[in-house]
Amino acid sequence: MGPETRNDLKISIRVRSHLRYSDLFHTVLGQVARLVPLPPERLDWIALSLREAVNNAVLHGNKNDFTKWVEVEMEVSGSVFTIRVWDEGAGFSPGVLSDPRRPENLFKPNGRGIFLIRQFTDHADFARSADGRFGICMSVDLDSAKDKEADE
Amino acid sequence: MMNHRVYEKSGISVLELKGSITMGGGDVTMRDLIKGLLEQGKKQILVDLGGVSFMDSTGLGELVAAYTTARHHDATLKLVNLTKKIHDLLTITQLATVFEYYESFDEAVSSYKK
Repeated sequence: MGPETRNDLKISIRVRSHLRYSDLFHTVLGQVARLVPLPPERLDWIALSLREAVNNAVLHGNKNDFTKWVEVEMEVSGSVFTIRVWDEGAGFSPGVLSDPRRPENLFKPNGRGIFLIRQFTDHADFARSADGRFGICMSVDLDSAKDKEADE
Repeated sequence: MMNHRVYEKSGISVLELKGSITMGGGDVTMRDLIKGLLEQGKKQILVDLGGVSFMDSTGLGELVAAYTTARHHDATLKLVNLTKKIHDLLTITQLATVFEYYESFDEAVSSYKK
């Protein structure tokens, strides 16, 4: 598959809620990266964002409940690559997130996941699906990534 | 998956880490290794991250926790051989202002003698 058909790419994988699947999603992203293709210099950062989102879904969303599900969708639309990660949790307001770079937070071991996602994707937002699941939607503009690559 | 090696050099305890440090993959091992060194009374700990190819926020958090735990034990934890990606992560999160880190092993060893 070449870039001219990348709009055909749409993947959905649903797994039981467990951290062991973070590696699986990372591997799938590596395969998807070749199909799209994703810019190599951004791949690790996109993978990091995906891992952070899946870990949050398992730990904070589904609260380590193995009977719940995590679903990851990957899709290309136009020049935008999107990853959505859904859990069955109550969700949260992004407004409550504090900046981990503030002096009072710098020595805290937690609280950097969403911050890193926002740093390494071009857009990240939270959503509630029609069936009530909570999700994060992260996207990367492939054209701007290409421009960036050309500039370097 | 993370591999590790612990050795002493010039009176410094070196923790050499390789691979990925992520939630459920190396994070607890790293914590236990540093805790073990501190419990042995080691005061100068150097974490060699040259072989670390991937680290998530949990790995970063464990490094921060190790740094503060070391301080509580009157020990000093420093970093050496950061890859560009790990350096970028530390810079973006401003943890580069927290850690003392060195490009070369010799520089790191010398820093303990000052």
